[in-house]
Amino acid sequence: MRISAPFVSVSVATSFLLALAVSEAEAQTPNLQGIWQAVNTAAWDIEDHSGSLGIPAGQGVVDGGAIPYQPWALLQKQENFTNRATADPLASCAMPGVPRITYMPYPFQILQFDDRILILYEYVHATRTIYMNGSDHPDGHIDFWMGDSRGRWEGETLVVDVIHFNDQTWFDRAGNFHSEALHVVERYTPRGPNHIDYEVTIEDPNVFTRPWTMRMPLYRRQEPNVQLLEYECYAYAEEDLAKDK
Amino acid sequence: MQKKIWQKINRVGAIGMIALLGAMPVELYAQQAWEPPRTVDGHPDLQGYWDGGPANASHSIEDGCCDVVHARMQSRTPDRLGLLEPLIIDPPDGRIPYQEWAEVKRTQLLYDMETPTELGHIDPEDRCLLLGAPRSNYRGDLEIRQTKDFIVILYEWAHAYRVIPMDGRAHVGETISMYNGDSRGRWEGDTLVVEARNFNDQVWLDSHGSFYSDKLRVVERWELVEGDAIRYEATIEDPNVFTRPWTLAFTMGRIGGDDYEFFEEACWEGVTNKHRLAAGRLAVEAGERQLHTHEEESQ
Repeated sequence: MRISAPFVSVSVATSFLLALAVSEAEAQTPNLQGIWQAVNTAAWDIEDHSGSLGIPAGQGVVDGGAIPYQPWALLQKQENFTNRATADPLASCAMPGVPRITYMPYPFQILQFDDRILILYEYVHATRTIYMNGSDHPDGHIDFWMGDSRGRWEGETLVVDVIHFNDQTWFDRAGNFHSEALHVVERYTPRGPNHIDYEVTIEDPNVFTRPWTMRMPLYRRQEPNVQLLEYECYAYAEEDLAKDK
Repeated sequence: MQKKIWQKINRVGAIGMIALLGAMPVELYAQQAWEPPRTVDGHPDLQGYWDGGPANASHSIEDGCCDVVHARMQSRTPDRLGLLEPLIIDPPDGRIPYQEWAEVKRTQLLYDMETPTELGHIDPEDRCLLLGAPRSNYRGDLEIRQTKDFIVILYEWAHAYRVIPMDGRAHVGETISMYNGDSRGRWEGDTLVVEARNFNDQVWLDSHGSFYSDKLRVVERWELVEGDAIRYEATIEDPNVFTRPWTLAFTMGRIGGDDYEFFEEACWEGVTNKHRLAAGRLAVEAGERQLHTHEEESQ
């Protein structure tokens, strides 16, 4: 097939424009770098709850109010709630999993690179590498506490797909839980320089009747000298925990 | 007199010639000198995955690892025993310059670790504590990432990390102490220099009870060198514990290919120490105390 010269030049021009558009899009990739923190009570209970000793009252962060538990799972959640003082994985200072780590009352730092995004959490020095190179999750199942994170940009939104969880973590202190079939999709959308809209969809056919969503803002820490320090939960509790562990 | 002047001129000339001769190869060498890969900011690009220092060093930075029992457990061949290369380059004898009282305490810990009756007798590594600088760097593999304002070091072991601000900010207040300390970095030419302080006194430099106090100061020098390697040097100062500053150094090699990834290495979540403490207490009650030693190796 003979290609006419004008067609070639048009197609060259088009790919040039496309390349420009792509590099512009890359240049416009939102900059999420900095130190962020949630300011809410989801770490204690992601659903509506009254105040009690040491626990601030709070309105739920779950879309539609209630978590759509399967009947057996709702009973399990209630049992977890009753035993939460010792049954909560955080009582023994385990890693909180995703998304609970995001709304712990501790700061975290986001650093962006071409092929990955790092999120470093102050709480028990948990870390996540979100691979942005188009790679797939590794074959599994793998029992990770923090799951395996693969991300992509959808316009202004960082979308992170997380699987390969163990069944040991909870969503909050109130006993809301999942199985190892948990599939989390996080969406980080900047709303101005100092806020991120954080939306999380939770899917776990073993425990819930349908996928459900929670959402909350994340706030940029404003102190000029702010930095991550340490919260080494198990080191502080080691003396007590070593009696049984 | 004339002779003396001539001698002087001669000497100056000779020095000049030597300097010229000396300078020429240096200049030629400089033209061919290896150039490190650089980031967009123009600094050496240290990014990627690196092996964590010489084998066995984390067991003892003076003697390496291990006794024959450990060697059998880990199927080590005899050539894998001991320190495979010296770690401490100053003082020249390769030993930590402990003050007298500190040497006594360290020896005590070498007994206590065989029959631990309290957590402080157990190697901080076995308790999953953050190991600070410099120990983290010879404990296992590490990953370095650089932005304009930060250098981040991720350690696969126990998902430890360090964030090193490069923006010249001051250290945190003196009363804040941390397992990993508080690090500040700067570039001195092509060398990354990191000053770390604000440590607590809970961590050892190795499994041999090589302790320090919260007055510890560490200056690390990270230099990318030819052969895809990092030359690492740490000068360690603690007026409460050591007689003088001392230095350890080693070279890290690059590991992993393009798709290499660290996996989550949960540590605390799987650790148990209560049985070790129970056994230690029983042994002490029975009067069974023994020094942790590698003496059998030389037999």
